[in-house]
Amino acid sequence: MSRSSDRPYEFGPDLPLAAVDPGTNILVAGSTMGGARDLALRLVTRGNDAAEGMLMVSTNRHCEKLLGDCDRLCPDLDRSKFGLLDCLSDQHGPKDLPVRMATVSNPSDLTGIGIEFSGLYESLYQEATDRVRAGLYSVSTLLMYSDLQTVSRFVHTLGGRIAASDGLGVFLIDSTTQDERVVNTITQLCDGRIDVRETDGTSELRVRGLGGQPATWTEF
Amino acid sequence: MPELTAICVDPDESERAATVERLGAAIDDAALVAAGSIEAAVAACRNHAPDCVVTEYDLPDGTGLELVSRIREIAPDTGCVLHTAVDRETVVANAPDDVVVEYVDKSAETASVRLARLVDATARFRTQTAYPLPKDESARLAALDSYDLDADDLRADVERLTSLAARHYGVSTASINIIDESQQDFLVCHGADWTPTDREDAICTYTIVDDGSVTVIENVAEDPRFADNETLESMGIRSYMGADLTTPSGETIGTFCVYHDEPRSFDDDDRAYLRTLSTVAMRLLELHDDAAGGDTR
Repeated sequence: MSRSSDRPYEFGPDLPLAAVDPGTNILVAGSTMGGARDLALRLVTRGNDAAEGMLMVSTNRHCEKLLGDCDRLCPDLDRSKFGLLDCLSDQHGPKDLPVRMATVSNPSDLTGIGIEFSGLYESLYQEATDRVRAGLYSVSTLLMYSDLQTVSRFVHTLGGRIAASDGLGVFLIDSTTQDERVVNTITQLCDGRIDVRETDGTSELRVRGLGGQPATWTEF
Repeated sequence: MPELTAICVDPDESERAATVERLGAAIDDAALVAAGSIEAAVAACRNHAPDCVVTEYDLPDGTGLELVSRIREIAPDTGCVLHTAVDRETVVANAPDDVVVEYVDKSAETASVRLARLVDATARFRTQTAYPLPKDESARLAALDSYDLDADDLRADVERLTSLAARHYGVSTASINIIDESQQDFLVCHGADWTPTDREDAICTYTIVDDGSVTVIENVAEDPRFADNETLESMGIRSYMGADLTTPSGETIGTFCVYHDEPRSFDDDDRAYLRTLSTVAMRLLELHDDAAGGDTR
């Protein structure tokens, strides 16, 4: 009998992506206005269909709005398997949403985000499911407040926990506002990268670093 | 040598012993060292070069996060795990913003299992470095280990290549660098007397993971990866070109580099010539190793 952690993570029939192995960390790069953010959210909310845990870290969008985005993408979102780490509590004060939640005062507090992430991740892993998809939205915000080396260590550490727990990690970066060398460095900390672009109203993606995935621009 | 070395830091002797025992039972071939304070842990770090440090939050001479900051100054690649029953809010409220650390709640039901898995993975895959690792890092380090690079005549031979490179490019400094687990060592360095640097401060750390076999940094001060790098500034490095030193089996064990103290460009011919020099240097390493009978590959 196979363990639940042996099963690959699937993304559903409407995304041109093959399933990926447990422990995989993916960087989604593109303009957040051009579909990258939506795709990065979809990669995590797809866990709902598989009764997997979902953990989202919001560094630049109010937590109610992020939860609203998730509800729009996944109308029957199972809140018992959903966790939210809000990194903007300094801006809007404490929020009481009907999900498993933790708060950090601001996105510059990488110590707090890391510790709260670990706590929430473990709580989802133990109580809800041993399969957890985690998303960080977005690395770009962290780079506004902290230097590249510290953010690199942070991404590496989060990715390490996800890999050690046979989870799925999704990191979003707005590649249109970051130096290419910075994006490449964050890419190298992940197992693979999905580039997203929008042309004439059509969203396209291509994948690097992960086998069996579309390597050329593919509509989604 | 053990596969993994970890230091367990806890002021409570019985808790400390319990953590050591649990990790010892869960992880094969682990050397576990116990310490009860920041000072004892720092001393143990200097003596044992651990892969990972597991620490309580409340220590007699400070907090576990203060210990992590101290360790990152001594050995920045060391993985650190905060293992405490102190609630997260208290820990976070009193912490500086930039101490990136793993966390395992000591009071959680599955704390022992999670701690062991995290320590094992953190140590084996070095998941807390502040820089990316090559995908084949383990194979790369094993390949590096198989070369005998200590011979004086080897150094004399490759020094000729770095001298040739410096003259060809009109730069003061050229070197052949070896990238080991946590440091960049200078096998030879023409024109400077540089000492090893932490891997997180070395340009070559990025060269060996970049696409392509040659990396050029025309102006270090304008590269976001190095703009605030005080080590490079103190070495007077303003521009750089580095070529991979790649073994016949494909592992990049180091680099062949030239440096300049002013921004400058390098064209395609420059890149091609450095690629040739690095190939010759690698061949010399092979030949010396074969002649020394040290080839275990």
